[in-house]
Parts: sequence; C-alpha cells; structure tokens
Amino acid sequence: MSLWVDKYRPTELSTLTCHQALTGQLKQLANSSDLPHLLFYGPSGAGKKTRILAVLRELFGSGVEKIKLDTRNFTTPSNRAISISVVSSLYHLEVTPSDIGFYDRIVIQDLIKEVAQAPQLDLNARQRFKVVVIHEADTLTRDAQTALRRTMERYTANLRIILCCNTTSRIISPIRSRCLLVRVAAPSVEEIEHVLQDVASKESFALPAPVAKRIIDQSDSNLRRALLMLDGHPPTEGQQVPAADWQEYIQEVAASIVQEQSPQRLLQVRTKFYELLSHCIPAETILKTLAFELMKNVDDQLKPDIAEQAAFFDHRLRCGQKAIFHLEAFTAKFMSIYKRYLISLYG
Amino acid sequence: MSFFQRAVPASKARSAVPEALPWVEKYRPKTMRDITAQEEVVQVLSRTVESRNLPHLLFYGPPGTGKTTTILALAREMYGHESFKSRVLELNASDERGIQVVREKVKNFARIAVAHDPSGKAPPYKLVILDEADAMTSDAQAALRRTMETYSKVTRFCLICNYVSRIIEPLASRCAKFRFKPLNAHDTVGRLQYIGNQEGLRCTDEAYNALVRVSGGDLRRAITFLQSAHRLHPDGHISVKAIEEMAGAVPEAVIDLLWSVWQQTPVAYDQIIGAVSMAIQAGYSAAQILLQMHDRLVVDVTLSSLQKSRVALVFGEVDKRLVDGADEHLQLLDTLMRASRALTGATESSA
Amino acid sequence: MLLNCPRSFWERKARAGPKAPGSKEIPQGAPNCLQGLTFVFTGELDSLSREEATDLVKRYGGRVTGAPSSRTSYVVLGEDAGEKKLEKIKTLKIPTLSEDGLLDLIRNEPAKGEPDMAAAMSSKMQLSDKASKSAPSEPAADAAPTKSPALESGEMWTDKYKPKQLKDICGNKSNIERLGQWLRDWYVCNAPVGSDIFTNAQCDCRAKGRRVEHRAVLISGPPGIGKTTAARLVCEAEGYHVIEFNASDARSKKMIEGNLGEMLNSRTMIEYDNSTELHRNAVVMDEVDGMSAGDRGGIAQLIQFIKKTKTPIICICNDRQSPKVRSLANYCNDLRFRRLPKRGVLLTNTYAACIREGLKLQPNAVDHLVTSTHSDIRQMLNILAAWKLARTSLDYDEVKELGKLSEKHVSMGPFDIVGKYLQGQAYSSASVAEKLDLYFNDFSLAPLMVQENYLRVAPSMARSAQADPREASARVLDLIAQASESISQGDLVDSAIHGSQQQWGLMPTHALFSCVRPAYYMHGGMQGMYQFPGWLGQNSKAGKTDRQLADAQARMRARVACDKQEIRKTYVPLLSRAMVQPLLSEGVDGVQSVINLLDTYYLTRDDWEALIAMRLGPESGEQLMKQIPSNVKSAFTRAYNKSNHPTVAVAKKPAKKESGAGLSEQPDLEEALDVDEAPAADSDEDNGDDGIEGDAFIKVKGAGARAKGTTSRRGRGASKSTRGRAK
Repeated sequence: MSLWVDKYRPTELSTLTCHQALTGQLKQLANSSDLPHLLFYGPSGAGKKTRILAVLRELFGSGVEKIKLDTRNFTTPSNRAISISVVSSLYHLEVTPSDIGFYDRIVIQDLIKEVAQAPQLDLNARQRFKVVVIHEADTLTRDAQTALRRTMERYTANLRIILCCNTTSRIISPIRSRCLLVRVAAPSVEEIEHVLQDVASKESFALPAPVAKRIIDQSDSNLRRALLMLDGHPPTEGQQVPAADWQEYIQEVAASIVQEQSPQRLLQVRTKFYELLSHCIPAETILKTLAFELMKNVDDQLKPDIAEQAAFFDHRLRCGQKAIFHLEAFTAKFMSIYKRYLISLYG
Repeated sequence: MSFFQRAVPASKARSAVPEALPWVEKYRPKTMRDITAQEEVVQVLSRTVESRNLPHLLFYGPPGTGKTTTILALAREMYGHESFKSRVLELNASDERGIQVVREKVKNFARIAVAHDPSGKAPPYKLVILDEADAMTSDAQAALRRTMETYSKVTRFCLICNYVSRIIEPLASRCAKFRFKPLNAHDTVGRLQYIGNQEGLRCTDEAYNALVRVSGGDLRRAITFLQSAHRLHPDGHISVKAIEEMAGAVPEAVIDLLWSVWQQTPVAYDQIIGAVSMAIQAGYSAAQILLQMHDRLVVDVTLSSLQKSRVALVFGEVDKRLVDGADEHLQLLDTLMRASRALTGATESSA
Repeated sequence: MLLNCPRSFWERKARAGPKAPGSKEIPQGAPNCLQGLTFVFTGELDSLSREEATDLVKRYGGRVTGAPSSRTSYVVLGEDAGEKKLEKIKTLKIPTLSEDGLLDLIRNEPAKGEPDMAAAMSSKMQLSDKASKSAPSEPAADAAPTKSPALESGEMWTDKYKPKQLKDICGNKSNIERLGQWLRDWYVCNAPVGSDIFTNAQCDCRAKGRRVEHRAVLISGPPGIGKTTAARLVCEAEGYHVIEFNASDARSKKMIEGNLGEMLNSRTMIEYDNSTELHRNAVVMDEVDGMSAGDRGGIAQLIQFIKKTKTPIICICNDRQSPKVRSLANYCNDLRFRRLPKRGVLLTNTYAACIREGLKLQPNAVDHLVTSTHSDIRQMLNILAAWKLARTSLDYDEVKELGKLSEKHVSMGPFDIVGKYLQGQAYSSASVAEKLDLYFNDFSLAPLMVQENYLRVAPSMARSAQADPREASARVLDLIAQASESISQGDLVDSAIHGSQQQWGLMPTHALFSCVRPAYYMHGGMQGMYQFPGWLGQNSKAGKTDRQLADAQARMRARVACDKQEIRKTYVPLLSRAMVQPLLSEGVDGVQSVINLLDTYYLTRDDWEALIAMRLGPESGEQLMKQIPSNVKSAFTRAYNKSNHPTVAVAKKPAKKESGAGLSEQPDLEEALDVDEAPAADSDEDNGDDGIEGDAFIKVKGAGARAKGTTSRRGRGASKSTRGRAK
C-alpha cells in the first residue's frame, strides 16, 4: 500500500504526462548513439528525478529498476573514515555526495573513478557506458566540482554523468559547458490538474475542480506535494485543504509576530523556532515561509523591507552555523521595522 | 526479460557506430595556418618557429580563445609527428601538479638532454606545456622558477592561464607574454558556419548569432552547444529558442517581463512578486537572470547613470549571495524590489 | 564592588572621556577630610559618574553605602533619584547634598588626623603581640617586636602570618568547631566494625539526638580562606598526626588502594612515641576536585575507603558543585567554608600584619584590597609584601591601581560572564579590553549566554526616550534588532573560526560581535534570572531528530528519490497521519494496514515512532501518540515484532530489492560466496531467471545466517553469478 505519489509515478518516458516537448527531446537523446552528460535543473517537485529514472530506463531497460542500496566507505587524506549510502543497479549508481558535506570531493574522485574504471560487465547491456547520477549537485563544494570537471572528460568512454540540482547558479561554468542542460520547469496548473484528475479517476473518486485548484495553490506547483496532499485529504472529507503541519505552524508564528512586537514575544518566537528546527524543518524553509507569510500580512509599503531583510538573513543563514541566531535577527528586524511603521501610521 | 531480448540487437547496432568525436576536437585547427583568429599572436609565433628560437611562453586570456590550440599547433609544426611524443610534455589542472610533481616529473623531463634528431628538422629543445597554470599553487609555481632557468638550454616552457595575475611575478617575468583576445563575433560565426556546413546543419544566421551570444566569446562553448543542439535536433533544424534553452539562457520574453516589472511607477509589488515566482517556478537560474538583466542594464538608455550604478550595486551583491548558496526566490525578489527603490532614489531601507 | 543601582547610558557617556571629569573641576581636598562620614548616592550626577564619585569620597576617607540608613551622614542627590531612597531620606531626615555640595564639602572640610580605627588597631595589635609572644609556637611574633619591620626574616608573609593556633584562624568559627567535634567523636562513633563499641556508640549518638556522622568530612570553599590551614590546625589540636595528599600526588584508583590502604591499616612509629601527643593519624585529601583524568577511579576508590576507613579522612575542595565531588559528598559531612566578611576579622588581621611590618594603610585602602582579592587572605598578604619591598605606605588610589594589576583571576562561570556583559553597571564600568577578556573566560559559552539572555534585559539606552511609551518600546525593538543582527554577524565569524578555515585569529572579532556589541545595545536592568543557553539542548535535539530522519530517508531511498528535507516537508505530514489514522479509527484492526505501509517504504517501528514525533502543530506527534490506546499500541508492537519485514540493508550487508515474487527463501551461501569476476556465460539462462534474482537478494529479517552474503555486495558480476546458480 504505497502512497499515490509513488503508486502512480511514471517509470517510462512514454508515460510522462507533463512537458511533452521535453519528453520528446529526452527520448531523442536516449536513443541517439552518444548520450552527453546531462544536467537536470528546476524547482523541486517538478519531476527531475522521475525523468532521470525514465531516461535510464529508456537507456537500459527495466534492469535499472532492480536497485540495491549499500554503504561505501572512504578514507579522507586526514585518515577519517567516511561512509555514504549509494543506490545502484547493474547499470547505474546514484549518490548524494553532499550528504557528507566537506569531503564530497573524495566521493567524486574515488567512487566515480571506481565506477568509470570498471567497464560494463554485462555484455548484453544496451549501452557500453554506465551512468552515475549525482543528486543535489548544486551543493557540491567547489573542490568537488573541479574534480568532477576532469572526470567528465577523462572517462567519457564508459561513463556518463547525470547531475540533478535545483539551480545552476552554483554549478561552475566548466561543468555547465560540458553538460547538456535540461530544464524541468514546474508543471503548469493545467498539467498538475490533469495528473490529479487522473489519479482521482484511477482511485475512483470525483475531484471537484475548485478543490483541485486549491490543492495546486497550496502546493506551490510542486507536483509531489500536490499528490501527497490529495492522498492525505481526499475531497470526501470536505472542501478544506489544510496546509502541511509545518506550514500551519509557521503561519501561526507569522501571525503572532504581526500581532505583537515586544521582547517577550520575540522570546516566544524563539521557542517556536527551536521547536521547528528540532522537528527537522530546515532553517531556510522557515525563513522563506515566514517572510512570505509576513508579506501577505502587511501593507505593500513594507514588502520591500521584508524581502530585503529576508534575503539578507537568508544569506547569513547559508554562511553561518547557528540557524536560530539568524532567524531571530530577522524577526527582531521585522518587529523593529513594523513597530516604527505602526507608530508613523497611528502616532 | 524482454529487456534482454531487445538488448542483443541494440548492442550489435551500437558496435557498428564509430565513437563520435566531440566537434571541439574534430574541428580543432591542426596547423598554425588553420588558426583564423588571433592574427598578431599567430604571426609573432610563426616567426619564432622559423627562427627556431622559442622563448618561454605565457599565454593568457579568457577560455575558448584558442590558447591550447595555438600551442599544440605550434608544437606539431616544430616537432613534426614523430618527435612530438617524446619532446612535448603536457600537464593540465586535473593532473596532479603539486610541488612534488614539479620537483620530480617536470624536473626530470626538463633535465634530459635532447636526443639527436636525424631529420634535423626539430629544434634542439623540448617543450613543457602547463595548461591551466593559474590553478597551480604558488609553492609549485615557485618550484618551477629555477627549473625554467637551469634547463632552458634543453627545455622551453609554455604556461597557459586565464588570469595572468594568478601567476607569480618571478615566473611571469621569465616568459614572453601573449594575450589572447576574446574572439570577435564575425570570426566565431564564420567558424560555426564552417562546422555547420561540414556537418550538414541547416541553421539560420540568427541561430549562429544566438550561439555567439550565449557563449560569450568562448568558441569551445559555442561549438559544444552547436553539437548538443544537433543531438537534440538531428534533423539539423536548430532554432534560436533551442539554443537558448540548451545554454541555460533565460528566454528574452521572461527577461522582458522581469525587466519591466520593477520599473513601473507606482511600484507594483504584487506584480513583482508574481513575476518572480513565475520565473522561479519555471526553473530559471537566478544568477543567469541577473546576468542577462545586467546586460540590459548596461545598454539601457532610459536610466540615468546614477540609477544604473545603484541597480548594478544591488545586482552585484545579490550575485555574491547566490554564489554562496542563498535562496534564489528570496534573492531575486529582493533584487527587483531594491532595484525599484534605487530608481526612485529612496534610501536602502527605512529602518 | 557593584552598586545595585541602575546606571544610564549618559553616565557611560560621561565616563567615555579619559580623566576629563566633564564640566566641573574636582577640588583638591585635605587628606582624610571626609573621615567618618558615610555617603549614599542616588540618581545621576551632572559631571561625575557614580564610580568617579565613589572613588572621590573614598579617596578622602569617606564611606559609601548602597542604601540610606540612620547612620548615613549625607545623601548626594542627582537627577532621577530613586523614589524609594527619597522616601527613606525623608523619614530618616538625612541631610542631602547636590553634586556641587559634595565638591564644596571636599574643598572646605579640614584635614582629619590618622584614622581612629588605625589608632585603635595599633593599640590592639600591641596587646595581641604580647599575647602571641607568650605563646612559644609563634616564631613570627618573636622575630617581630612591636612596630619593628621584620625584613630580616626571609620568611614569606603568607607563612609568617599563617595562623599557628586554632584561635588565630579567622572566620568560619562554627565550621572549625564542628570539625573539632567530629574528630573528637570519631573513634567513639566509628570504632572498628563489628566491635561492640561501634554499635553502642552509634546508639549512644542517636540517643543523644545527634545525627550519625560520616567517616569523612568534606571541606569546601573558595581558595585562600584557610581551609587547609584549618584542617591541619584542628587535627593537631585534637591530637592527630596529619598525612596529606594533594594534587601533586598521583591519586588514581591503584595508588589510593595501595598507598592509602597500607598507610591506614598500619600504625605509625609516632603512635608509640610517647613524647608527642599525636597518637593517631588523620588523612587530609587536599584538592579532591583536582583529581582529574590521570586519577581515574580515584574518587570511587576514595569513597570505598571512606566506607570502611579506620582513620578520619578530611577531604578539601574548592568547587562543591563539580560532579566529581558531588558523589563524594554523599559520604562525607559537609562543611562549607565561606569567604570572610569584608570588614570582619579579615580586615583586622591584614591590618595587624601591616602594622607589624610597618606599612601604613588607609582603612578604605584595605577595604578595597579585600574586595579586589575576593577575600583571599593569601593573595592579599602577597600583594602587600610585594608593595612593602619598595614603599611604606599605601593609600586608596594606589590600592586601586594595585588591586587592578593583581586582580585575582577567578575563572568566571558563564553566569558571571553574562552578568558582566548585560548588567548595566557592570557593562559601563568595564573598558572594551576588559569586555573582550571576559569572552575568553569561556569563549564557547559566553556568546551563547549573551544570546540566550539579551532579550531579558531592559536596555538602559532605550530609557532616555522615556517621554512616550510607544517610542520607548520602539526604541527597545530597534536595539534588539541591532543586537541580534550583531549576534548573527558573530555567527559568521564563528564559522570562519570553527569551519574549514580555522581562523583562530578572529576570536577577538568574534568576542566583539557576539558579546560586546550586543551588550552595548542591550545592557541594562535584568528582568528575572539569567538562563542557561537553550541552544545546546535544542541543537542536540535537532541533531538527533535529523539523524532519525536521515535513517528513515536512507531506507525510503529505495522507493522515494528525494532528499531528507523534501521527505520531511512533503511526506512526513501525510505519513505521520497515515501511520496513526488506522490505529485510531479501527483500533487493533488497523494494525495490519499500518504495518503494510511501513513495509512498503522499508520503515521500521523506530522510524514509525520518529516520523510521527516529527509532526508539529495542533495535531503534534506527541498528541497523536497519546491518542493511540495503549492496548492498540502494544498490539501493534507485538504484531510488528512477530512478522517478517523486508528491509533495505544499509550498512555492510548485502543490499537487496523487494521483488513482487513473494518471499520464498532460498539460502544460497555457497553461491553468494562464489563471486569471481567472470560475467555469467549464458545470457539466455540469465534472462529466464529474473524473478529468482530478486529472491536471492531478499533478506527476511531474522535470517541471520545470510549475513555472509556480504561478499556479493561489490561488483555487478557478483550478483550475476549468484543469479545464474540460484535456480
């Protein structure tokens, strides 16, 4: 009994419904004699990974679906042992080097070299190369990216690399120029609705259009989120589509900040931030959601201020270590700005 | 199971296809005469080849301007095919080039006396090509200093880099410097058209121009893009849109929208928010958007210089944040909102 | 000395200039002109900071107290004087002065002679000198006739004026009394186990209503107040021979077992020597809190010893609260020595020493010295001895300098540090350099303490805008915003220090951003107690849930291709509900569907709990958990444990993939081990075998023997050959 999002996940290029033009190109690529390295980018929930798997399937057949999961161990130059979990099939290997942060260069060098140097053992495989899929490529360190750059050239004979990331901003240009860039935009509202209606009909219930619209709205055009929402709250339960737990929580925090600005309130907000962080909500998400919630709740004039502060502390957040400091500073800044604004309005 | 049945013919079919060579290699000029751009450099170098007296060389300039091509062609011309292998050592950034390698591998190669060349054609010295030399640590560069001098009788060096400032002064002063200019659009288009014709592509001139634009004077990138476009559209019809998409460039229509939305008075905040989230949903990279907006900013005629500078400041700051990994959505939103403020001359923040 | 009145930003500003005391000229008064007068300051003076004014009064021999009382001579009134104080002044009818009045007073008062106190002291000294002369055990007194400096004796002052007799010890009288009592009773109460006396004595003790004493005492207190001296003297007075162990002796488990054991169980020659009264042994374990890494097991062993010792054991430590000592304390009588009261016996004693050595001292000067050394007698004597080498008199200002130079470096706890930063007055009275130094007392905790507490302070800088409460509250928020911005900046510096760059040279910068600057904005009156940083706990909690999430994600990875943050953001809201809903609505009947769900995603029961706990908000995980009836929950646990589950091996186990072909077991160790690199020869055969390949890699929980399949982990050929033979 898997969730609908997994149950109805397309596994082949031909069953993909969104981005038909892109699907055609991918098909073209997969069937051409030489596949270039690929770089998939686009917002999350747009279907990058689904497409990567579909391309792999197109390349190698159903064999790629027989995956196994294991842990590889590496030793850093400073003799620290690190391990990373790897998903692999006979033909491909998926890895998320950013899992181990600082030492991702070693994974890139050793693991990929290991794969590249072991030729395809299956003589009947349809391609003579193997594929390494690197997830979250935009979080690779510069070192790792430089290492990757050369690897991509050296082992073209029996290795193709597929990078998957949310943005190309952080991918160094030598890598970008060595890859074919594949942009996967978030599906359009119509496309999402089509998918939702499709699932609804397969699960044999009726999905009223307004509910579907609301789900799409709430999901931020994230198809995965939309499907999971549909799954959790089939419309039979009513017309309301509740947001995710953490979204609601942050909405409450935002409301409480707009309601009162004082040191005491800031202390309460701090506790709530801690609560969010200890429930695994990434600090970046908290800041972003909070900023947009605040923007919704205040007058137009203040929006640029909020955007500016949010952008400023978002940067801090990425560079720093203790998330709570920056979240708190953002909130404090907002309180100060908002209080001044209220005073200027009402004297 | 069906997979294996299909697999067999596929693998047979595959072996018939010859390994496709990247066009960058396939169309790399082989001789000095083939090099069409960089006339001054080529001219000076050709003369040194004739005189058979080559100084140490330092090539610098942006990527894709022919530095490596030039030195390889030069070496091939000087040594001919036979002695090329024994006389030329080529090392680039991906090879291990720490101080250890410089001290052992490079030095050992440099100190070997030159074997007598029966044909008498090759000059009496070897050539070490250090590609991407600016990626070498300054320690390793320092270790090169003495080697370059001591064995200059039997070995000449050619350093290639993008940024000459990253080469330590003592090394730079030992070399004859050659600057490689970015290729002009005309040369680039000409070369691309040549390749296109050879490969049987049917591209419009606009497409070639688009290629030049997205590759920013980097011929290697332009050729790579051309080849990728060919892969996606094997029929040979390559549109401007396809090229932009492939290069990760943001379509002009999107830039148009983003460009106009912050210049409205009064400021339409909701439109800004809407436009930004549209661009982000579509997956465009914020850094790329900034880059293209910046190109527009520079040539814009309606804004005053002061306004332009203010906006450029915002762009610069946000670009740095993006490189540091900040959230694209928030940063882009901030950019446009602050840019619109910069127009009206309002101070950075009211607080 | 901290005065407990709030200070404002303006005061701090007035201080900002170097010795330029603002608008008014400070008069040069006659020496000791304020002798015998007691002053109280309230409110803000025009040109002098509180500290400067206090110094001024003290310099001329006056006393400064915090609150007005009947003994107060003058109250110096400034702006915004405290209302309570004003009331009290009225009721007590104390004369008041303005700042100018104070300056005039200094200008006009005539000089007063040597302080009375000093005169009184010197006469008293002569008496005590005589008394001590009669005691034969006081060489110092012999060597130092009244008022003649004893330079010739090369003894250190600390030794020279060390109490030689019980009555010489100042302070902590009751503790010393108790110690003596305990030693006296020791052999009565703690006679050898098993002997009749033991029980009888104990009964006796109980009967007398005294509590049963432990076999050891623990003396605790700050350094330099005479703990060791007291212990020695009391032992001697009670006729014990002292065996001392201190931090210089190795005190590991073994050593204690060996040395101490032998010593205690044997008898000394002295016992048989009738010429001395010291017949019995007492063990003094000095500096027990210093039993550190090298002394592993020492404390535990010591406790063992205390339980059955035949000798009294006296343990001495500084930090009663340290975890090492705390366990020991359960087995000891607790004697807590306190710092001596400032003006008490201590003052008298120091004074006596100085007079005997011929050093002239102002009473206020001694007072300050005591403060700056935190009542550490030893330190004070050392300072004075050093001073005496060059000069013969010491006045208030000199002591102040001196005190600062030789300020006792008590390592400050995090709570002291945060107090120094955020408490308005403490903040204003320290220079930037001093504030930077504060950070280094505990550079890992100090920033966190400041961050935790800066919001609980009412910043003095907001107070100048008192006129409008709205404006004031906005100002507070501005300050908070600035402070928190600085803290956030500090975190960036911190990452440069502790991150990959390891820029330790940036630590002062970090101090500035994370502590000093926030304190600049926020210093003021503390509201409530300082809190310990919540960050530490929260961070480890976040780390723990993050690991749980990563574990769950690793298992789900085989089915779901998104990173853990996406899992949390998109899957958890749904999963956490879906994993509980059936249990709530269908009770025991829902168990199977939950287990099916878990199995689909290869999740374990631990993941089940962790993922549910991650839910936030009104339907938080905790609440959902509570709603599950306990019988359903245990039914779920039982059912889960009973059934087999497909698992994705994560660490060093053969990985496998669930296959649709059911769970038929095919143990094939041989095959799994037979993994030469040769690719399977016959591909057709392979093709026919796809279904079984899956089976070969299914690992059903509980089939432990199959762990050997590890070998098949590497290389594709491995799985191939396995597959080939598995049929």
